[in-house]
Amino acid sequence: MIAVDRNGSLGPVVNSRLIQTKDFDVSWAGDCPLYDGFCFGSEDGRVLMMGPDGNAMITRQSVIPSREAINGIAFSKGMMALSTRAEIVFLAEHPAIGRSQSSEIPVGAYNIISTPSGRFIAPAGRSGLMTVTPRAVIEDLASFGIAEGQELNFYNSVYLPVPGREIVACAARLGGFIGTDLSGISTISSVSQKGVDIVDVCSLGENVRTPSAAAVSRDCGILLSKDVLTTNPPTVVKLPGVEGIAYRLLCANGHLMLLTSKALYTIGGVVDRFLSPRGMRNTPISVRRLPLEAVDANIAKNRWLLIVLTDGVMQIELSQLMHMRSATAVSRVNSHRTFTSAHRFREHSPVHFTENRIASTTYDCADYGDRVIQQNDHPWQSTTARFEVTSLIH
Amino acid sequence: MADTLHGAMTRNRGLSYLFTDKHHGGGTSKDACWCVTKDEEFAVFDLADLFDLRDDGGRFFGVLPDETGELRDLGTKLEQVAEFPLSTSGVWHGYPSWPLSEGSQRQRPGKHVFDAMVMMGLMTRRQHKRMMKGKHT
Repeated sequence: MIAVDRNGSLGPVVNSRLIQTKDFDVSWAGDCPLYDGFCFGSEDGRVLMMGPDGNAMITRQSVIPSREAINGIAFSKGMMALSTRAEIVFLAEHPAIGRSQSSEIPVGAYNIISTPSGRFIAPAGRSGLMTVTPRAVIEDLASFGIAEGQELNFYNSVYLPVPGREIVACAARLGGFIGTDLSGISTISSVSQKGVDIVDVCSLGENVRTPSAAAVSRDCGILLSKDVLTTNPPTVVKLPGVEGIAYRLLCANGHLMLLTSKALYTIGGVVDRFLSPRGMRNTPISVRRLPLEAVDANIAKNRWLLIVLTDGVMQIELSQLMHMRSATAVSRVNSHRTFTSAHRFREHSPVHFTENRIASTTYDCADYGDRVIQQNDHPWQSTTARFEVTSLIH
Repeated sequence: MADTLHGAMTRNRGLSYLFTDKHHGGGTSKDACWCVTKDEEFAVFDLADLFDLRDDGGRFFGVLPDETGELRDLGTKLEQVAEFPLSTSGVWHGYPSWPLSEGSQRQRPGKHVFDAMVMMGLMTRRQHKRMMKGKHT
């Protein structure tokens, strides 16, 4: 039921830039609101910030007391928060100023995000979902929420932009796909299926009236929900030809981007049809595959995809990934160009940029209803529990 | 299940290994529980001993790659690393290790343990970077 075979036809060439930083092994890459550019975390707990063109580079040493690898960075109201598997750290001043006041919670987390209201949110495994406002950070006070009567593993989280509310969706591994409204009644809704390991979650966009989100299972099944606060079973999409272990699921301009251990897949045609009244039956889906061995990825400035590789960070303009068709097919990796930035870090470590052109493959998934929407072998378990919040003085 | 001493000893140091009831479903819901066979559990320990995958505190840590090189889940909560705490009696035991620190509980292996696993070919650089972040590989 696939219009083009699973190996696909040669697709458009993607221009990318490989950012490599000497003596700075990147573990996380994402937005840097301070410089309107990018922020990188390292494997030994340091931070590097740079403008999108490589200027205004600032490194900060020993941000993380344990020197563990940074797995998340978020900014809010002049404050910076970082997470590792050992702790959550808050910096109260601009990191470029030098010494700044810091506060640490000795609980590891898988990531950290911020919401427009200024709240930091960190999925801290079975310790719960950490939420803290900048003011509470100053008062050394954080809250951890757990679902009453359930032992959930809070693994990844995303803010869902619904006006007037502060809704967060979470991936909770075997605990399923979770939603909670931090501004309203303290309940937590979850849907799970036996053996389905939910590893990441993303918002389906800003122009939706309900808290819509997608999640991905470790075996690359995509779960779509129009309202994560309900306990309705999600629509499950299992695309043929997708290989590897799912690491990240991101959404931009109506396209889903699935990062696995083997490739980046851009999936067009799913989100708009899912959110439309017509539904998804007979929806043609275009899939574009970019082979790479990645570790993590984030969207920056709503314009770039930053992919953490084993030897640097790949920067790709999102618009390039959205074009599913190309009249010109070219051979694999065509050319690359390397140059060293004229700018230097404070520690005089140069950053290298390598321009790459990578060929992608594309294929279509037709006859959507029969093959791609996965039939469930086990029923979905839906629960709503009280979101029990415990305050922690640190 | 009663605690059971394994019949074989490790190839490198000849260490004895005990399968504990606590980590095979006999403990509380908080206790880590193996999801692999006992032979596979011992193989994880044997590899850890063979390649000397120890931290400064003398704890061994192990993983179990499959035939494709991906790391298998070792525990019922999808843990991919196992810890074998330092034995004072001479008989060792182990359990799947939670990837995050939870206050005073610091079960996570250090960076040099993961570095050694890469050097010995038990995991790739990609898996190493994922593990360092506490993530699944």
